[in-house]
Amino acid sequence: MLYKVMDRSRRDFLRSMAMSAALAAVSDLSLPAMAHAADPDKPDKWVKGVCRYCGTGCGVLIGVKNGRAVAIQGDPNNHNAGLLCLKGSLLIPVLNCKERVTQPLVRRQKGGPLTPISWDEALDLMASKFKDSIAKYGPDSVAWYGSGQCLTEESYLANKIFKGGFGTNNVDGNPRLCMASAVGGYTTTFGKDEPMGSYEDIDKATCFFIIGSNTSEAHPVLFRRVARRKQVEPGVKIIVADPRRTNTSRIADIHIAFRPGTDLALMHSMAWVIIHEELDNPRFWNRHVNFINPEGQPATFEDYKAFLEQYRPEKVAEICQIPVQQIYDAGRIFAESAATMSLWCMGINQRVQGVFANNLIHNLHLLTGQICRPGATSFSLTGQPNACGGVRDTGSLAHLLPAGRQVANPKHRAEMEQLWGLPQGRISPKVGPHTVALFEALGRSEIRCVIICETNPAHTLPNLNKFHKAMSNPDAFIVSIEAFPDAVTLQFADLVLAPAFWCERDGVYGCGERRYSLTEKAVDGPGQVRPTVNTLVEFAKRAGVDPKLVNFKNAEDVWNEWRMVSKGTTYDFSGMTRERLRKESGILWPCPSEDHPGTPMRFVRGVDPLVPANHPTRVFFYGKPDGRACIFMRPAKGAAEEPDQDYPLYLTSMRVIDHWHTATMTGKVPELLKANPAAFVEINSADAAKYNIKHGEMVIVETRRDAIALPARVSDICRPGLIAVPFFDAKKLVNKLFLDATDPGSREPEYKICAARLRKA
Amino acid sequence: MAIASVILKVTQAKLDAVEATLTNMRECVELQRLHSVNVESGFAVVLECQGAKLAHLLEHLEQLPDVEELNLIFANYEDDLEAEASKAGTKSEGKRL
Repeated sequence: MLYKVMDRSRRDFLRSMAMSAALAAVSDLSLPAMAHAADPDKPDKWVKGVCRYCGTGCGVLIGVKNGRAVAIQGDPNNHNAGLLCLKGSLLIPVLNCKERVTQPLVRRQKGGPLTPISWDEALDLMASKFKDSIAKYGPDSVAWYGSGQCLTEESYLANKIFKGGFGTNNVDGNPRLCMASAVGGYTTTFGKDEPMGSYEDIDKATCFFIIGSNTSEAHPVLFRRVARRKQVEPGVKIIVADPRRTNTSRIADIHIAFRPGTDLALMHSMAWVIIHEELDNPRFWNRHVNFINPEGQPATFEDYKAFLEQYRPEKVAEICQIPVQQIYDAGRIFAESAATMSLWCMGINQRVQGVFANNLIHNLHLLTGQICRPGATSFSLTGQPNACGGVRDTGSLAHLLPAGRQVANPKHRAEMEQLWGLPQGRISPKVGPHTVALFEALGRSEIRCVIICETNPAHTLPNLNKFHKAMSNPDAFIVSIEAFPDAVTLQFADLVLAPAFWCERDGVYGCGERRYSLTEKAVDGPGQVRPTVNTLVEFAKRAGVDPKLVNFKNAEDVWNEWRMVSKGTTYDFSGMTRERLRKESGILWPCPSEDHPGTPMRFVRGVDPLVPANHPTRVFFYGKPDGRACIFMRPAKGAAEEPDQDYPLYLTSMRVIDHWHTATMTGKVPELLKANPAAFVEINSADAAKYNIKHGEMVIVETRRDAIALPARVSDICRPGLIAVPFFDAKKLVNKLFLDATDPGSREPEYKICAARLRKA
Repeated sequence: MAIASVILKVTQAKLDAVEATLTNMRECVELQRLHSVNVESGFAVVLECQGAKLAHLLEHLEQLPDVEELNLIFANYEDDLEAEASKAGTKSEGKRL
């Protein structure tokens, strides 16, 4: 009776979480503070940092006693105002857990065991493998696969070593799997990546349009802020568009449970309502918007209106399988609200039409003028603590260079060559492979050496069987910089390096609202762990990179160079000295001088330092040559693989509140592990009845790629015809079920939809 | 089934009376007195009830004499727990609408 036990534990867990949240909300009586007060072993000091989990980027204070972390509490001066979710509150057991990689390990032959090796030997081996590969097969035979969990300094440095030192753009990272479509949406619509608003907008919004995000489980602290906003102002409306009836949807005024993959049609239809009921804002779009037709050519408002005719609500309601009234209501509330804030995440991004879906959210804001005002903004939520600051902003993706520069742009390459002191032409003009293509190239022996840093692709890539095979290629030399020995990727690694984890070294994280916060070193790591900045510097020197390029003693040196590289760009954070970051609890860029307070809202005269004080209009989308953002006429198409006669169900991937990503961290916390110990499949009760499946029974979830046995959770959370699986469980690698089709623009895989079937085990 | 937590601000002199009321409520499953800067006197309360009835329960609590303010902090809705509550013999109020 595993499930009975599991449910009882989960119930206790939820009660405990509810109480801890209540206590944490009373800021001077948070659980950690109470624990601290009750503990005679009081911390000697509290060290400032950032939570290691999601992209909310909550500030934390780590209590240290005799060189050991003993307590944690929310930073009252950061945006989270002292609040933490339960995962964040339980970070100390992760830091102190015994299951750590504490020294370098080598696999002398494929299929053999990992055995200890000295740091010196490990770095020599790694350097010689990379040097040999570059000498024999050229610089494009080596690669870096980074992470939104690396520090900004680590990502910036790796990017510089590979693009400037080795001369290859084979640099990508796991934000390709989660945020690339949001990047594509912002850059195509506004000309610049990253949200224009901030979390402060939550406190000003009078309508929330939450689409493709289970905020309550994936971003609990922000969800609490949204829920509180509605509680304080009962007139605040919440529209949740999600095929699952999640906890997020339970506080909604309207929950639109559309058929998976039809959300683009839904948003076009909302635009149709807005225009036909004259709820649009011509004063705004006349001044600040260009219309772009499906072929990418300039168009007019009348063209847009004509385009939307194919998305009349009555027709779209049939396509989406929702009541037509919901479309009218959603369009009206969105437009008529005093300030509408959209929030979205993986449900929008992890799609073959991810960039287009992002564009359509921005369309609604631009059409109604619900943008660049307090509470009115289109805000993409982020999954990892440093996907924004570390990977997007430093340009650590295959097509990017630092601070929004593009590999394909000769002027941008020349700028970076000058800034990095490289000879002209050193940076390759060839865009590197995106994540899926990178691992495919590894399988074909086109890439032979790869460093995988603080991420677990053997667990997270889609269509995993294909990529496990690629990672097993005997020609491949895989280095994994990984803190936890149970990460699946270690099974494929030839060399494992032991990194200092979280507050065992200092560095900057940049969260979803453009806020850069410093985590200071609080404790020494176990065994022989080293800061990854030092590992990369030493590796680069041994691999033949010009020592002048990596003349850094520590992360602070790297930060100071990166800060100056940002100067004069639209990312300018040159005013964020290390000293300021030590004193302040995060600063939002742009921040072009040491006395600048940071920028809560971009593109607005008088707020954003990059908009000239004498600019003739209040809003100026300076990312575009003519200062106008784009409303795109993006055709709505289906998923890459729709259900059919053989595979009649939609399968989607989801998160649970108890675990973060592949659970290499949350799995170390007994309370979290007990609450949700294993994967399951969520099935609507109507579908369960159809297949004669009972709650708790084992069922086989099968797609064209694999079949996995999972216990059934029967409920009304999924809409009929949809089943959902969480991906945290290393014993049930559910990503084997999903296909590796990608968005043609962002190259982000479609984890959110594929066709599946069910049968009893 | 819904599990939620609230902070109730309560007049200092009426703490005992409100505590007695809360203790007698079937839906109130955990209770802690608070004395802090933000809540001079009051309670952190964990509630467990049928999902569809949570809103009514919150209204009821807010309208209790001597409750000055109610803040909803956390709410989780889950069907599995309801089934479990029923199996475990807890009074269940039927399926959520």
